[in-house]
Amino acid sequence: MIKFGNAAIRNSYFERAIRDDGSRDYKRYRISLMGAGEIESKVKLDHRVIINRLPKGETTLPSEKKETYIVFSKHLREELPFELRHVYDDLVSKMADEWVPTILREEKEVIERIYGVRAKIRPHQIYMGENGYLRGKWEIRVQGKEAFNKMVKQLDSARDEEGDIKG
Amino acid sequence: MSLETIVKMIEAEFKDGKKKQIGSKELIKMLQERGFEYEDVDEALDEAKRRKIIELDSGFYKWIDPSIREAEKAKTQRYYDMLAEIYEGGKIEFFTEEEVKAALKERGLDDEEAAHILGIAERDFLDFYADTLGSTKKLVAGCSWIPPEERASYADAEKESNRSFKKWLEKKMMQGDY
Repeated sequence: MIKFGNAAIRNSYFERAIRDDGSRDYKRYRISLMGAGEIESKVKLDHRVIINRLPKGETTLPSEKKETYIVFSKHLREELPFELRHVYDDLVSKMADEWVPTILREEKEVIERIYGVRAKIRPHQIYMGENGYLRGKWEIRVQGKEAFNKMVKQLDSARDEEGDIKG
Repeated sequence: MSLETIVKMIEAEFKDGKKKQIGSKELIKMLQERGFEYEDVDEALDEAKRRKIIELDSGFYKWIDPSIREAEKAKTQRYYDMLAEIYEGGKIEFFTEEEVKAALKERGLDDEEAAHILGIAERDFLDFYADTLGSTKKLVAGCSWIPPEERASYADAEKESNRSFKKWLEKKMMQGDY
């Protein structure tokens, strides 16, 4: 995360970051920036118990290694028996605030400040890497026609200056 | 294959109600083994729940008898009406989850029902995220009302977001970042 530098430098940083780790959805007026962080050291045993119980998506790498992930949603709690649902609620709540990586919090703040838009943070997935090592994934999102256009205009000015477009 | 095809497959698994319930993981695995991606299966299960063909409870998908499906839809609509009232038809943009639950409880629902409604509402009605409130910079989990005319677009965007997240994850893993 860029902590120093003027607005133009920060704008270039975000233009690049969104290109690498995010997306622009022109049809639905949405800009996303994705980020991840470890949660292995934060989850408690009861969190892990329910993570193991929940259904998971699976992705196969070119190496043929399979990785699994849980896509967060409220209705997932109904996968669980009544007595475990409060643990899921606690997990979701911690993913939504306490466990959000500092870098993402800072990026949200800077986006709001330099682009004059509102940015939301959404917990998105829990990903189980090798040996069951847990990472959380979050999305910073700017949405709505006005906010989207405002931000895109500034982001494109960074590309223009770098020569990517007009070059 | 289309979403409709997967929904019909899900329905067929219950053999017109002769089978009353199927384990969630079992049903998902069975559909994945037929070549569907997890995201497509998840979306089809959501649609089957929306149509009140099945409901999820304690890790099992349970068959809903066709004779009570319209009544179940009406019940869900009543929940949506309550949320519309709480958000004053969109005039209030953001509530913390605790505030929404408290407002539902004021309307006679218990904790479990309130949490259940938020689960249903997430599919079509409310946008869940964390935002900073006031000057504290503390993130608070909450939700916004999705205006009716934007719901289809939100659903599409969520679907797209899940797919791009998966691609991003694969890219990161290939780059050795994870």
